[in-house]
Amino acid sequence: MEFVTFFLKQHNRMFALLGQHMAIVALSLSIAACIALPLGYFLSRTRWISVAVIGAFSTIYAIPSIALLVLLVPVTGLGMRTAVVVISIYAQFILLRNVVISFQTVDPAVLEASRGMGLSALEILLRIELPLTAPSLISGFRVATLSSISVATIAATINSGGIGILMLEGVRNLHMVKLVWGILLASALSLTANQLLTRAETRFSDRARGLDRRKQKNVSQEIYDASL
Amino acid sequence: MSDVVIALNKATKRFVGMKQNAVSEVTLDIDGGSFVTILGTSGSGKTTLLKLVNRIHELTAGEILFNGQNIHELKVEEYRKKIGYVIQQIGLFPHMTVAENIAVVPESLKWNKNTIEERVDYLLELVHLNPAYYRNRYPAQLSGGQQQRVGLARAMAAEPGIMLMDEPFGAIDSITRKILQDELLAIHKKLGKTILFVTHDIHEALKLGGKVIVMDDGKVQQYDTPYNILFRPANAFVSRLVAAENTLEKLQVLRVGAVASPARHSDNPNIPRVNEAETLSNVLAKFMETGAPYLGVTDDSGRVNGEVSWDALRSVASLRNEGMEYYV
Repeated sequence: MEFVTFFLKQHNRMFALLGQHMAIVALSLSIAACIALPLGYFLSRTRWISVAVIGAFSTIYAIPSIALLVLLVPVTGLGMRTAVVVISIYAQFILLRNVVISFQTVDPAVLEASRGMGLSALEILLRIELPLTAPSLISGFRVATLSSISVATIAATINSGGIGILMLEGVRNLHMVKLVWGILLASALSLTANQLLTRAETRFSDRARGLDRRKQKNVSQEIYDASL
Repeated sequence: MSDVVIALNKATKRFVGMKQNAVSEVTLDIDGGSFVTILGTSGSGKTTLLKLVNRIHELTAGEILFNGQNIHELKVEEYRKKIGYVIQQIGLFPHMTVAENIAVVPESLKWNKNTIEERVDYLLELVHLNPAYYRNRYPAQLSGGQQQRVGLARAMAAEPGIMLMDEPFGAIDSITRKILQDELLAIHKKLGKTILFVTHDIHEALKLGGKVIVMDDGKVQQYDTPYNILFRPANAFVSRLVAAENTLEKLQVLRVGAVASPARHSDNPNIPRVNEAETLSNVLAKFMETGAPYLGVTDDSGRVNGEVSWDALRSVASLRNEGMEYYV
């Protein structure tokens, strides 16, 4: 009962914090993806440098998020800005490694065939590499999203806003209902993001492997089954 | 048709960090409409030679001309679109249907949609895949042989001037391989496309090639007709290479043209006939079935333009490999 009355009284603030949380995550992920996609694509061509760059990022990744947040406060100040910077760096590592590996695992025969038939690098990227790496890229993006949501919760300690604020207040004031609502909202956000991205991953994976049946309206079911 | 399509002039390739040339000063002409096989062991430079032609590898020295133009002065993507490329691993795009795979280059060349559709159906029929059945299927739903048929159709999609084939049937079971070889010969006969075909299988090289390039150590050992490769090997290497082929195998790869003589009995309507493209093993079968002393040789229109006698056929079996002296 207490849960409901808390919600009825506080829902405006709760949704505002949830929105803030999503904004932090979305902004951080966009920044990270804008860097990781082109950088990872180029790094995937040269095994040498890719190993070095990924190594450097993995060192940063080894630093606990709370330490990195505190470390950056003197530079970028308290608040959302620091949170976005830190989350971008963390997501960067996950995405970059994932992008490099995704592009490196495209079947070399497919690439040789597309080069040999005279497709340009851009055509190969858009028509061949991206559709084939999409499931793996989305999978990496999903992991980065979940990690970002959780780091964004911790970022509340440096006053970044977001659902973490509810939890912090709940702990500080021993307000059990507030704390549980914070946990519920954060978990719901994670689970929803996970669910949506998993679904996208499956769909793109079917497409990449040629299991998308929508283009096969005139291939009868028996032919399809017999071919499996 | 017999204009030179590809001319190599001292074509040389050395890979970075290697002490030896992979391909060493190769000079030869490929005539338009010819079917040329490149035969060699792994490391002989045969695949490198092929990949120099479509600039997958770039020359270290020398030059290659395509219809008289230096290929290094052409824009590489535009040039490659004029060349069909088929590889052993096939490399079909798994996320595209059969029709989409075939349409990639025509789409890139901005062909109109109806033209592409018609072209796809035409090509599928050419490689003996029923379009209604196979258009919308994915590579994962096809057998290896069917996939390579699609690979062949895809390579021919934009009407290339020349086809480069790198051991296309190397990973396919022997029964299917034989069928595909015969179909490729039929397609070549029908379309007259220039084909450059790499293989390590001597039987395949002699059977398919109107001319054979024998490669070893980055150099051309002999560039000649299958008949001359078998009976007039240019050096010890070629001689050793063909020594293992027994009489029956020779008859399976040589064609009637190699032993036919001008028609002297063509007025006789009762003589049994064979097509000029038949292998000598089929000629042998015909002799055995009919007991005739000679057969009329016909072209595709059924006209007799020569004859082959039992003695001429026997001479192939008894012909001494002139290269045998190298063994002494």
